[in-house]
Amino acid sequence: MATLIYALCAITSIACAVLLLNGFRRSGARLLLWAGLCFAGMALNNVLLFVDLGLTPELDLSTYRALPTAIGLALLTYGLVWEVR
Amino acid sequence: MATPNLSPAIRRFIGEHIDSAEQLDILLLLQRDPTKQWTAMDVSQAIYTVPASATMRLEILTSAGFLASTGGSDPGYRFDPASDSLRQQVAELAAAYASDRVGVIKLIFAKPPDPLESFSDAFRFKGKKD
Amino acid sequence: MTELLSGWIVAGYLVCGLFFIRFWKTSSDKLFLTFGVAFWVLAAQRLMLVAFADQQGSAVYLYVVRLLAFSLILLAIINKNREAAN
Repeated sequence: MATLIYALCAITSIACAVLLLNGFRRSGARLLLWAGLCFAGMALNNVLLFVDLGLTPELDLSTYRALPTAIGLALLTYGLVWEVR
Repeated sequence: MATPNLSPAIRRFIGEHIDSAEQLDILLLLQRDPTKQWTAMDVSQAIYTVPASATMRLEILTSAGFLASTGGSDPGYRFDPASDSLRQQVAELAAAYASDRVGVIKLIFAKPPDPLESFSDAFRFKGKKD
Repeated sequence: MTELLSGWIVAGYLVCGLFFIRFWKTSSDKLFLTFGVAFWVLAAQRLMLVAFADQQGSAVYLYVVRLLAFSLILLAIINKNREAAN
């Protein structure tokens, strides 16, 4: 049940990342690049969560999990501040 | 790009306020008769678009200070600029559009796409409208 | 280190959510409202993770909150495509 939840979170964030990065390719709006990378970071976090809690309970990846999210949010914040008119 | 009629002021105005031909159509539609109140449905029928798109444009124009909205769940919109200089600029734009329609349209499409619109459109599976 | 990252992440979600709420105000596009709320839910979830770090059993419930946030985002996407189809 828990693994299902982690998997669903991972799938949704991957989908958002794909849609946004594809949108960046189509429109060239850089905000979408930063947003896509942010969701990619969240996706990586969710995948690592899946691995950490679902597959390898003996390891603790919590710091490594948090890094992609933190970096992704920093990129998105940068994009929201500078890339919007 | 030969656009002798389009002053720098008009170019600046378009750059700042006009993101699409549809938005221009709506602004000038309401400007033609400042006493008339339009709903999003009225506008969407007049310029052949969907009400959701008309609502979005009308709300943007209202928050930019061009229109007055009655608010509520199905607002009525009227051309009522927040300042005389805005009123003047829209009048000049209307005149420019009447005399050099192609030039004005070209200016609109020469602009880079609005990042927020692109963000929102990225989540459409079937590609962009317009 | 993890707590520093958690603080950073909570602040990041809050600020980005706030931007999305602003975009909703200026454009009336409900997609931005949903993203803003979803990001704030994610901020709350991260905060709860830190607050309840000692209680192992609650971990799954907290990730249900995260799923809720992502469900909101999915709803926003579905809604946008339904709107576009009309």
